[in-house]
Amino acid sequence: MEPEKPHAEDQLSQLLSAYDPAMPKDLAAKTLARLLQSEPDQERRRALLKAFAGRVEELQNGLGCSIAVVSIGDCSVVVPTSALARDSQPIPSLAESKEVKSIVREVDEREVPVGVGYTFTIDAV
Amino acid sequence: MGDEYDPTDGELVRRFVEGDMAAFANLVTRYQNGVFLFFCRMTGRRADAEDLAQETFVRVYESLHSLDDPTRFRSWFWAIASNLCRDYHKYRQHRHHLSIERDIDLDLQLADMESAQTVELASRIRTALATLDDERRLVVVLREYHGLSYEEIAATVGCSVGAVRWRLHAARQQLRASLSDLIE
Repeated sequence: MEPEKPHAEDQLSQLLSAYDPAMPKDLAAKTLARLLQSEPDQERRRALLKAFAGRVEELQNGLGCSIAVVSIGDCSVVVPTSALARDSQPIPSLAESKEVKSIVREVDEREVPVGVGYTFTIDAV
Repeated sequence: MGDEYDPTDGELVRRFVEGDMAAFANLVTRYQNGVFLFFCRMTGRRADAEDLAQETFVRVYESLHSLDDPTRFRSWFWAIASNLCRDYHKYRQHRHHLSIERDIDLDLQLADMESAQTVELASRIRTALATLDDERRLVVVLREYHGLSYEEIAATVGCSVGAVRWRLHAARQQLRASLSDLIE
């Protein structure tokens, strides 16, 4: 069944359309990080990474945020480091995983701690 | 480019269930903007909207195999998002003893921040939405912003079509009253 469209002439509908929040640019990458965290099977994690690889490339084009390179086998994607944490707490299974190969920070070259007791070396940008 | 084949949701679901992960990535791409905006309008908080959008996809990923009829994906998807929203509101109200109206995020990032008038208008609308009770806000957001039919909303929120119509009518009345100075 076709969805019924809101009445175009309805002033209220038109008014409500003015509330149009801006989209975050890294939602796909963060979603991928959460999916990787919840998927225990290594092969399926790898397939997820491959499937999303082309959808998170925008992060490599200078968003100005800290990014992490997550690799499983021969697949790598870039995710924001914030995707490795929830409520400022690291996601242990991902943030502490060897699959997080490196953290790349655009602003400086200090080491960025990710997770309790874990520190990842920063690569050159 | 306009001739590119665009698979239906049901087709993507079937492909994912058969092991095609790219089909799931396609569903994420298709729904991620809508579900983020849904949670923005339902919660008034961008950070929470991001988190809830991600959680929605995790739930979908984990339970998509149990969807009997792939053609019903849209309603099923919005039902997951709506249930997460209900849990979120219960949690925040229990934890903070606050109404959503008092709890909305001060950070209003809009697609168009060029015009001060647009920003002010959006802020008014967000506040007006926040004054609705959760169930009324849910039906009005699904209808006005996401174009769901009455039948789809009924399937999504788990009530009759008549109840959807009544809630929508009540929500619109309340919104018109809140925004009366902006409506001729």
